[in-house]
Amino acid sequence: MIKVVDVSHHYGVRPVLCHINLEIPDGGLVVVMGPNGVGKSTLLGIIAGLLAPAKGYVEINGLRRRSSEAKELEIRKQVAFLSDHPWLPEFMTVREWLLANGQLYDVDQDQLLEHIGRLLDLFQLSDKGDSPIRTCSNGQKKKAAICGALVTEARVLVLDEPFTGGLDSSAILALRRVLKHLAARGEATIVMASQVPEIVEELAGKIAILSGTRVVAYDTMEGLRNQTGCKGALPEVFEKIANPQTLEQIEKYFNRSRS
Amino acid sequence: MKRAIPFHSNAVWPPLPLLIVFAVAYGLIEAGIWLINIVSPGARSILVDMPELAGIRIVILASAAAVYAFFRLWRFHPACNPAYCAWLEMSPWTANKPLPVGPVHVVWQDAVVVGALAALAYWHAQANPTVPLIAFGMTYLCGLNLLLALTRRWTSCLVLGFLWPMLLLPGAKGWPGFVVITAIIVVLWHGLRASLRAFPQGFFQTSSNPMGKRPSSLLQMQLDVRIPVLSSASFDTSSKAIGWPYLVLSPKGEVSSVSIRTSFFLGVLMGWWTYCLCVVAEEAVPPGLILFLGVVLAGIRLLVYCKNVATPFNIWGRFATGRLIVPGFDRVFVTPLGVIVLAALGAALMRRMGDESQAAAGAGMVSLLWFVLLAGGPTLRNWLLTGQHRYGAPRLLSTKQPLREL
Repeated sequence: MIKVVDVSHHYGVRPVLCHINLEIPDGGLVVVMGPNGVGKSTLLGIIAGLLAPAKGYVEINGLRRRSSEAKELEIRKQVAFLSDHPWLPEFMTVREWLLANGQLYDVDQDQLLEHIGRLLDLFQLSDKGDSPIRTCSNGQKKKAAICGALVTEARVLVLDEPFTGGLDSSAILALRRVLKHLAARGEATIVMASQVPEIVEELAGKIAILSGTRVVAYDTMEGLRNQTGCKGALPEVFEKIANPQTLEQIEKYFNRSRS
Repeated sequence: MKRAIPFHSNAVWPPLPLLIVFAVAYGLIEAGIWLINIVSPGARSILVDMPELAGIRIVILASAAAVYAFFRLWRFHPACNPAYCAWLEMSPWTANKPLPVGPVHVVWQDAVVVGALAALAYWHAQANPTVPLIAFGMTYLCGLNLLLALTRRWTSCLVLGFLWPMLLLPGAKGWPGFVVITAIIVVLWHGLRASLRAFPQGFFQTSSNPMGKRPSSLLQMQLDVRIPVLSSASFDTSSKAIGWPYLVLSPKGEVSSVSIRTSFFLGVLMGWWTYCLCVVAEEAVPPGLILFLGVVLAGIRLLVYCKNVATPFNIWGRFATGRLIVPGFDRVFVTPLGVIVLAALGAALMRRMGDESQAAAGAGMVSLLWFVLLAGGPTLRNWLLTGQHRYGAPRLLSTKQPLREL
C-alpha cells in the first residue's frame, strides 16, 4: 500500500502541492491527472523518492520514505520509477542496460535474461537489443525506458507520462495490456500520470485529479461521474472537476464568433 | 620426498622491443662519440670524462631500470590485465600456486638485469652503480604499493602510508633507513600475498561480476561471454553507466561511508605526513594555513555531499514559509561549519604557542580536522538515503543526451 500523508511542497515561494492525502491499495492502479504544471510530476517524484516533500511523508508498504537507511533501501527494492525525462547511457546496448537495471533489483539472472527477451519482442525492440542506445530513435528510447521499469519486477511502479514520448500505437497497446495485466493480477501497485483520457478510462482503478495544488477528486470513474452528475466520458468529467470554467469559455468563444 | 620445483619463466626477461629502445638510446651516445672521434681524433678521451655525458648515461640507465620494474608489475600482476584476471578467475589457480604467466615478486632474472645495468653504470658510464638499483627498487615498490591500493589492501596501504614519509626524516639515514626499507618490503610482500589469497572474490571487492556473483548457470556464462561489459571489472553500477534517475534511486545504495576507525587512522596519517613535511622543510605549520585548510576541506566535503542534490526549496521559499532552518537538509552544513570553527580555534591557539612546538601542534590540528571532517555526521550514505533533498540530474548527463520533450 502507498500512503501519501499530508504532503505539501514548494520549490520557491509558490506552493506546488498542498496537504495531499492519498491511499493506494496493493495491486491498485491509480492515475494522477491534472492541468499542466499542477504538480503531477512533483507528486510522483515524491512517491518515487526523487525528492523529499517540504511537509508530510510517504509510506510504501508500511515503510516511511527517508526515515532510515535500511527502510529507504528496502523501499527502493520495491519501487521502480519511470521519469518523464530519463537519461539512458548511450554507449550501452539496450539489452546491456536492461540487464544492468534488472541486476540492481536482484532479479534472478536466468529469469532476467528471459524477461528481457520477452520485453524486447513485445516492444518490437529485438533488432535494436544489441545496438547502442544512441542508435535508437526517441520512441525506441522511450520504449527502452519503459522496459527498464518493467524488467525490475518491482512491486510498485511509479510511471510519469508513460504513454507520451513518441510511442507508436503497438507500443501503447502493449503497455496498456501489460499494466492492466499487472494490476488485475495484483502483481504490482501502479501510480502513473497520464493525460490520455481513453487510456486512463480503460486502465485506472481510481483517478486522482489535481487542481490548484490540491487533490480535488480521488475516486473510481463511476464515483467521479456520480460526484459531478456528468454521465459523459472522462474528458468532460475531468473538465467539470479540474477546470469547470473551460466548458463555459468554449461556449463563450463560439457565441462571440457567431455574433 | 617431493621437492618444490624452482619457478622459471623466460617471460620475465625484458621484452625485445624494450631492449631495442634501450640499446638505441644508449648506443646513440656511443655512436655520437665515435663519429666525433673520427672527425677530430683524440676527442674521445675528453668527451668520456665530461660529467654531462655521464649524467645522460646514468639517466638512460636509471630510466631503463624503472621501465623494467614497471614492466614486471604491469605484465605479471593480474590486476593490470583484465583479460588475464578473468581467465585466472575461471581457472583452478590458487594463491599457493605460481602465477601462470609469471611471478610478480622479484626473481633471479631481475637481479641479472639490474646487475647488468649497474655494471654498465660502473664500468662504462663511470657513474654510481646504485642508481639503476635504486630506480628499479623505488619504481617496483611504489608500483606495488599502487597495486595494493587497486586491490583494496587498505591495511597494508595505511601502514605503508606511515612508513614512506619516514624515509624523508633526517634520522632515516644509514641503518634506520635500511630498517624502514625492509619494513616497507615486508609489508608490500605481505599485502601482495594477501591480495592474491583473496583472489578473485576480494581482489577488487567490487568483484569482476557486477553483482559479485559467480556464474551460476549456462545462461549466465553465455551472458559473460556475449556481453563482456557486464562481466568485466570495468562495469560499475556506481558509475554514471546506469543513467538517470536509475542510479540515484538504486536499491543497492552503493555509496559506502567512512567508518570512525578509518577516519581516525586517516586523520593520524594526514597529521604524520604534515609532521614529516615540517621536519624536512624545517618550517612550522603557519596558523593561517590551518584555517585555510579547514575552509578548503569544509568546501570539498560540501561539494561531495551536494554534488547531485539540491535543497528541497530555495532560499525565498524559506523566507516565505518562515522555515529558515530545514533540519533535514541543513544538517549537511553542521560538520563543515564545525571544521571551520575548529580550524579557527586551532589557528588562534597555535599563534600563542612557541615556534618549537608548532610542528607537532600543526600536525595534531591537521589530524583533528581530517578526523572531524571524515567522521562527522551525517555519513554520505546516510545523507543520500535519508536527507531532505531532491536529486537533480547531473549537468553533464542532462546536457549530453536527455530524451527530448515531445
